[in-house]
Amino acid sequence: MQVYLIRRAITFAVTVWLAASLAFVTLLIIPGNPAQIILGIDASPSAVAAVERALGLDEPPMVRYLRWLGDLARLDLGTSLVYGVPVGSLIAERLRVTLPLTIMALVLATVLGVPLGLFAARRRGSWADLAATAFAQIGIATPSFWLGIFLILVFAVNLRWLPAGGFTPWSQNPGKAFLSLVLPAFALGLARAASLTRIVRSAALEVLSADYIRTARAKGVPEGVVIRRHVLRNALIAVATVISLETAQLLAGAIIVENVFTLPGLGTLVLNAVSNRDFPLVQGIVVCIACVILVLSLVTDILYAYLDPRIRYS
Amino acid sequence: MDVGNLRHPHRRSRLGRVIAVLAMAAALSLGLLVPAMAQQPSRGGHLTIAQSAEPPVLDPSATTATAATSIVHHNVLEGLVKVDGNGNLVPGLAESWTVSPDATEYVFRLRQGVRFHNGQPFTSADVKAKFEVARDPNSGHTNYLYYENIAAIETPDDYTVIFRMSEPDAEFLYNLARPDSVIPPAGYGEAQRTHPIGTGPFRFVEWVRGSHVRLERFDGYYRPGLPYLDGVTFRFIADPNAQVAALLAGDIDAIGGAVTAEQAFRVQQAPGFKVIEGPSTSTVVLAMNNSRAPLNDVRVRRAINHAVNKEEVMVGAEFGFGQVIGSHMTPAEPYYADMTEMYPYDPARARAFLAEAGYPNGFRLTLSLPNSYTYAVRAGEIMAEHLSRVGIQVDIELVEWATWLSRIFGQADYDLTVIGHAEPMDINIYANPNYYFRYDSPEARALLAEARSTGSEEGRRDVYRRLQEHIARDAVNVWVYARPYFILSRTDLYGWWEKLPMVITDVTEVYFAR
Repeated sequence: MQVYLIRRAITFAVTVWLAASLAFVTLLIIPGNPAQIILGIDASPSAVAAVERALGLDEPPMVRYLRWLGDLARLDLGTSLVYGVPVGSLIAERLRVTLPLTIMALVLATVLGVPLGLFAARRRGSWADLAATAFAQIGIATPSFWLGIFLILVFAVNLRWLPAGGFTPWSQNPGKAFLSLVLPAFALGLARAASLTRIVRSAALEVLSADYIRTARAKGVPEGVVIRRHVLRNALIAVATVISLETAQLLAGAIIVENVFTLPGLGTLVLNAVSNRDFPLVQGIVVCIACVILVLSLVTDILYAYLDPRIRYS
Repeated sequence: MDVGNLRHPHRRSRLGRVIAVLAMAAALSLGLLVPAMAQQPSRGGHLTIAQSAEPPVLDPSATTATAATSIVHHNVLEGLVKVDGNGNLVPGLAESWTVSPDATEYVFRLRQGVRFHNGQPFTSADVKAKFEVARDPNSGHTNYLYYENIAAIETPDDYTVIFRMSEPDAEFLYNLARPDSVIPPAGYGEAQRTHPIGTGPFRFVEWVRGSHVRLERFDGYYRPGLPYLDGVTFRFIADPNAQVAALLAGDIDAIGGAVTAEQAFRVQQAPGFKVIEGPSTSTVVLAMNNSRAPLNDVRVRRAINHAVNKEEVMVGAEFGFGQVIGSHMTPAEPYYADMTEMYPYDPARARAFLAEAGYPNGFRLTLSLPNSYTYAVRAGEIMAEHLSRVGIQVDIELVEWATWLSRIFGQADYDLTVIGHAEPMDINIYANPNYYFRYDSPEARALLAEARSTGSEEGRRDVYRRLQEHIARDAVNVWVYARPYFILSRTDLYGWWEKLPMVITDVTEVYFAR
């Protein structure tokens, strides 16, 4: 177990370093000068040069890269070029929106997708199965920005139940903060619920045709117990893998949904950071997202061992 | 040839006429003649207004981004002189001024009893501190060129400032009305970028990045009774559909900044909302790289000017809103001269020019379009079609804004591009051979120098007319149209600017009807 953990830790560090370096190199290759972006189109060239000096952009890329790596080793993500604020605090601020949003979308996807998938599998071939499969197909095919606009028009513009966008900070009014995340969570989570329905349905179908299910039914185990104890438990390995992958998808999807609902989350931040060529900010976000995904895959692996006692790590 | 061009009757194709009629019908159906003042202004209320872009910083001396100036200029920060909603120069922090006849000495009498939002009194020391930094090319101030002729700044007392210029500079007064010229409290420094302090009717309260900037009424404002509103929130909503949804849902009260014609249509149809439309200073150009063959041949550039049907472009890009122009000034600017007759839409003449230049079969060019500006992309696509009709094959390339800034604007690595130049009175760019048009004309430089040294109003009008005519004759670019300015707002909001002579959202006199 110890060896395994050390191996995981090394992989973790190398992956984070690679991801952040890739972001740095990409930003170097594509055209764009943060100083010009800050100053805008009407500023004089001497002003651009002065701002470049002030931001340290006149130094060779290697020097900037090494300095950034040194800071990272001390867990310092640096300062945003454009906003002039520490990257760490910007990300922490935005995670207060993106993390709850992702969790809400994930919960939504799970409570919708898992029962629906099981339900469809049990009634394979029925009209209910057909409806669930159709929901899955349509859900996967619907772009989240379109769904977002649709939800805004129905629930914000026509019914006026929920805000059309924007975010009330948690500190100001937790209830309103939650409400401002409801529509975005639906826009983000529905496609994931749809894809989860499909996976759970096919995983459950596979288990349902297994010999031990026939045996369980033959010896008179009630159907509810069969589904809970045998079908669900055995299908969960596949489901856990999918949920962990879906979470990564949710983080990517948040970029679009946060923009439609103008939520001050990590998604809008990364979009601005890239279009502003804000090197330290982009790298900081990449490091942060890489960490989240790596932690998630670690948790999934541990969960495997819990779900299936046959799996052991050494 | 040039005179012939000027005298040539304005010929319009049948399609052009149909489109013009359609455009007019569109304008009428929008019912754009909204009365500005319905009743007596009333105090109170908090205005929430959406704009599409979030600024990088909030200090107009650190950025020329209109996303920043639209929020803070006039509302939070002020200069010695202001431009009012009709484009006239009016007193700001200076209550009066005198200019020597040769435009080498400017004396300003400052308002007394003015305080900054932090309580500090406003005096001539603040003015001197500001412009000492602004005229230093190494300070990083947005544009030292506006102030480069300042030889000395004298402050004989707390309320008098004298600018002595090294050479005549009749532009100086106008430059003092620009966002770049706003005056912060002396010694406040870098914090101005994120927590701006000024003398305006509203004081800065907070900037939640990715969300909004909130301002509150400044009770110590020197104009009695103003502002009417208790506060203003500028919310950043990038998506135009989401902006309209938020307006219709009642989350916001108005949409300002870069409003599109589609948005105007949708809002106009909804009960309880109105559309205010007027001219802006944004000059949409099909910019040409004058240093690259075959665009370095004036006959080719004239051919391109004749090939473009500007009315059609305006209909396609802005639903017919806006105004066709013929040189680098718009009707919203003070010295506008009409040059639209010089290059009427005339494909036959375009082909003749191309043949004369040695390209009877045309050639191939790349048109680079900034993908974040819908109007530019649409206008570009239509003009590409126009050019193909006279034999010029155009490859369209979409570029992201940062790339556009660096590659096209910075390095002039392009053939053709489309962009709106929002800055007012920016015809001086034609005197800079390194500007991305790469237009090098000693005559243009001489005319600009003459404008700078001409003190009299009529004299300046004449020089600027000659300058507009000169660059039009050289066909440096195709000046397509002046973009429309829109405010979409609740019907019970009044006091908006009716024109946009300066790219700002001045809410000093905006109020809710009670």
